[in-house]
Amino acid sequence: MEVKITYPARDRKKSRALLLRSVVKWLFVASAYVCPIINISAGGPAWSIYVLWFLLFVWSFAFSPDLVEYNLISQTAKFLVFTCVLLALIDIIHSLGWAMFVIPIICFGGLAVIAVFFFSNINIQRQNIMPMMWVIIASIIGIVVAISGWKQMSWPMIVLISLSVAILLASAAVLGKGFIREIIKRFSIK
Amino acid sequence: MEGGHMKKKHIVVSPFQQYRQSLSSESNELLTDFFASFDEHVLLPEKGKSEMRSDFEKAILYFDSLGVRLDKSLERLDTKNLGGFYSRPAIRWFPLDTAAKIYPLSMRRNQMAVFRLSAYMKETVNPEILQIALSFTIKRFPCFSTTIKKGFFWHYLDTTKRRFVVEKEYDIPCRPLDVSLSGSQTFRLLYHENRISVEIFHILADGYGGMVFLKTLVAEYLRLQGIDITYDKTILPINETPVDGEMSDAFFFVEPKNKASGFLNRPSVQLSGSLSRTKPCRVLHFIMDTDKLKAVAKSKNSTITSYLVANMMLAGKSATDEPSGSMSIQVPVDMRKYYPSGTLRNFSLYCGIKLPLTKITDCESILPEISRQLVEKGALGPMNEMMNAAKGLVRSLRFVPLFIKNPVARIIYGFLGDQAFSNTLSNLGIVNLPEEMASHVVGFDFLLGTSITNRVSCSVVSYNNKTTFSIAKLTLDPSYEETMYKLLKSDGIDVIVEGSGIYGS
Repeated sequence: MEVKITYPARDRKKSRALLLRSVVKWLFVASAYVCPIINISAGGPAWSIYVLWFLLFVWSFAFSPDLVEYNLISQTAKFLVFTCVLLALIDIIHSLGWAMFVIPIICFGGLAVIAVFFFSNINIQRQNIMPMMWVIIASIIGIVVAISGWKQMSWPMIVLISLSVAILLASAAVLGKGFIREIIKRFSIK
Repeated sequence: MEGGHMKKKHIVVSPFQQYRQSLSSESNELLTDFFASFDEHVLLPEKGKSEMRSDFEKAILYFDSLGVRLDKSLERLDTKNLGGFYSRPAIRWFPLDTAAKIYPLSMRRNQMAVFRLSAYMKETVNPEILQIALSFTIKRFPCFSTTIKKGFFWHYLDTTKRRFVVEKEYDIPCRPLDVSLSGSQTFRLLYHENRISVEIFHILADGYGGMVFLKTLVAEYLRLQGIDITYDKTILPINETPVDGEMSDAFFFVEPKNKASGFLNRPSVQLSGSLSRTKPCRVLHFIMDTDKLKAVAKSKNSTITSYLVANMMLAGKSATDEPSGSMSIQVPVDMRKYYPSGTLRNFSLYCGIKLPLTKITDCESILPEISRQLVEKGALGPMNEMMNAAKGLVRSLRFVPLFIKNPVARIIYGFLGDQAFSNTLSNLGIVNLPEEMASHVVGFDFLLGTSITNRVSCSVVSYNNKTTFSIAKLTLDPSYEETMYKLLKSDGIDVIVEGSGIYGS
């Protein structure tokens, strides 16, 4: 069977990148396997939990970025969530007690950065509003839950909740009907 | 003079500026008016706008090189063909159709449901003109001018206003599209020598919709070359307002009374070659005379599809070391034949033609059974049952958040959906073109992207008495195509084999 070649040869760089990814993937899997074993054998606090989370964090950002909606806002939001969870895990595992103060600071900092990305190029970024909304919703829920459980309000929490509400209102005001349209699209069950 | 040194200013004059300098003031005025109209029609961000302007400049230079008069070339490139598409904000969005909902859920970094349609022109493709053809055509296909987004419950298509790009082909056909960025294209338009190919993420359309897009694009490409085009329902006039029915989920309008069934299938025998990391690792096209193929199929009391399925069963058996089990070939069924619909989106389902390995002996003995199964399983009743099952599944999952559906669907699709079949044969049927286009288009082919475990995916399209049977491979083992070739040859069919080299293991 003689085949007449009618297709161009492929770009070799991409195949090397794929190979690299698969090698790194196994390194990550091996580390994820070894860490809990060392942790259990050595005893002490369950540090392997946050190491595993950190591995997932690095893998997710560096080697397996999102297939859909990979943009500045979504990635900053994702980074924020991963960081907050990581800090919370460290705090809980080592019983340090600073998480309720530090996490709101990280959150309002991250939220401010997201808001800058959003409002500085609103025509393009309007389609990427949702990750910002998730951070706002998560921040509000988080604070409500924290207050009801912890019954103490710190200044970072006040700043975070104020900033969340302000960004929410500003987005609705700036986008007008577009804001409603975005919400309808995102929550459509069709 | 600055600091005692004379600074020479190098003013780079672009070929288009040089061209303008060579023109009379009257012609320059024509161009000034033309680009003023361009500015009115294109309100994209600066980068996209200047790239688009450059496309027009290149096209004007190309026409000039052919000796086309400026007024004639500006007439062909009339910016009215851009419509309001590039001057209005992107507000439209489309929920995915019932059949498309699974595709973004099941996609992976190296695995995406992409199919490819190619038209072979008589002459080498001119990329500048193809780019303009795309810029003019895209507005007629609102679902193609979209990007995929994540909702809370489902993915959806969000309109994107950008310069949709034509690319030179340099990589593997049907490789996954990068749909991650804001405004990413969900299709790819490629050119290579005399071939124009469109690779489409299945969320946009099925083979029918894809072919309408390709034919319309080729028609526009030819119109820009100065050929008068006759439009029909598969070659759409680009300046006509898109009809709602073209963008609708046709499944939604059909409410069959039948029960729901047709999704759960037992795993089928898979070909034995090792799965390649490169997807596909090779593509092949078997080009045959349609009349001869039809005559051979008729001599065996079957249709072309049944005949090809029978040979695929035999080729599949030769390429597997499995001692037992059933070989099952998935055959998509265009639902438009049962429910006339103008939709350009997905409106096809499939049936599975299944035979135990022990019964796959020779073409003559399996053909009656294959023909019977094709008629029975591809009939309206079973298709209605499958449609009900698909709609029921979508309905029952509608309130489940995407972050739960996504991983579950990926696992189910990987372990069940793909393994239910050994192989696929998608037959697009005959492509017809009006005479004025047919004299400029020498062929078509249709290629399915590879799946997860099926080592080969096959597709067929016929045009101008040539049938092209295409194979996208996921294994380096050549047994399958060699047997297929031998079987066709043994029936007296001349086969010309074209395709790619081996892309990788």
